[in-house]
Amino acid sequence: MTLTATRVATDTLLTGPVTLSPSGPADSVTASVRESYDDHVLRFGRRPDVSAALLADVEHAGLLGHGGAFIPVAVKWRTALLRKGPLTVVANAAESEPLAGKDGTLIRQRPHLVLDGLMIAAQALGADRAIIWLHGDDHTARAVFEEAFEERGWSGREVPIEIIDGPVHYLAGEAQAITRATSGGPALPFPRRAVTDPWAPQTIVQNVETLARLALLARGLPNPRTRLLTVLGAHRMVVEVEQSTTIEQVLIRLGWKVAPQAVLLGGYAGIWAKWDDVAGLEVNETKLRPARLTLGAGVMVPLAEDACGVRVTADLVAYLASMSARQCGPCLFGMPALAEHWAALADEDGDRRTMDRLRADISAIEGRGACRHPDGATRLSTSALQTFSAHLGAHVSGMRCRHRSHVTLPGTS
Amino acid sequence: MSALQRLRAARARPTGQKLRVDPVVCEGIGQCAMAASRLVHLDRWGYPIVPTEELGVSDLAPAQRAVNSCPRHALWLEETD
Repeated sequence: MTLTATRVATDTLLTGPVTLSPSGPADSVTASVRESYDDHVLRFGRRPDVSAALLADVEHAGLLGHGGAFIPVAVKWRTALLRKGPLTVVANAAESEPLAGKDGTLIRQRPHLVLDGLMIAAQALGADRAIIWLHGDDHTARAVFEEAFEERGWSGREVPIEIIDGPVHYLAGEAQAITRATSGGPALPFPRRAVTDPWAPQTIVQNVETLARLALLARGLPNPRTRLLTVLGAHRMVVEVEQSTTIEQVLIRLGWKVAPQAVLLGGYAGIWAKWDDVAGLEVNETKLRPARLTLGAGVMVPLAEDACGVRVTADLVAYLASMSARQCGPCLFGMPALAEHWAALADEDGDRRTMDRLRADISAIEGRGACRHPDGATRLSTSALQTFSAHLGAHVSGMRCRHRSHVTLPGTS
Repeated sequence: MSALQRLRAARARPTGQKLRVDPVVCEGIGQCAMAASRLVHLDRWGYPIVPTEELGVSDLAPAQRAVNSCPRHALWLEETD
């Protein structure tokens, strides 16, 4: 093995970029390499034994959760270590955002790195159960993990990790829904209540990319200074780029010749931004957050100059409303109301009062859902009102919308 | 500081308590808004909007009334961290 090959391999999470099928789980359209257990051990060595002392390293490295919220891992760990109840650690592989494919790609290419990460987290925290949680229709991921178990010689009762298929739903990967499902309830979100019983069962949910990074960190290897991104253009692509790469450079690398008018950051429940405002920004979360931006789970949707952002937003909000868990008032009534206003605006049936009603409903439901799902729709709506303000003016004033290019979004009709 | 200002300050003194609602359990019956009309408002679908900030001393009694009034036990007082 040459020195360069080793260096490259431990500095990145993926073995290479992939083109995904346009929608659904992260199934590659071309053959993609899966790292075997032998290759994995050859490259990284065996999984080290760890203890709760690993918390200090996790904290020192500043490891953040890569599911989209970027909560420091050390924060979750410290809470878990303080409490005494039986602990379940979940590797969240249910990538339910219809565009996102980075987690699916990672587990297809490097299942053993993720398995190591889960085993390390479970060992460090003294967990009683370790679970891999999958999106219900991700059959390839299940097969990949089962094959990986076989390579490790795990069979029958000796398998230390359970694989659970979650539902096929946008909210299937929501951490509180997973927590409820792993303790025997339905996989639906529920509002957080402060836990007072130190002996209550507890669940820690970590994204699979977070666990892969943990597996490197526990071996004393550096946390890769890269970011996994899923970008929707003519194809759906997953790429790994340095965090110092700008949004413009990412698109250039993916073959974009003409600048888009705007870009949706973070996926369906993301934030619209004007191209000129974000083209020069680095895809580095710690630099995006102060600008009140986030790429969430690393999703980018550039919007071509001749596409209608109002129409796309209406489709997205309708999708989010349809994916409600139908449990709480703000979601059950508020989301369809937002979708209705956006549909009226997109169809040029609305006027300025429609926009006022939209704004009023946004502020009425903000922060009041049982989970953050309605907040995703209000954030998307607010950013769309700002980003497409000029074009919205045309939609409500009786001027015809001349943007004809159609944007096909997976999951929406 | 005048007597009135002192009284206002005393009534607004933070209590370390927050009024919370479980939106899953809540069915939009609206008793809470009747029990504490100054504190709890209803959205246009009839679901309660409770203050997000810590309650002041004078809010504590109406907040407790709102909690007690709910036939679904969807509201509770919680210590702020």
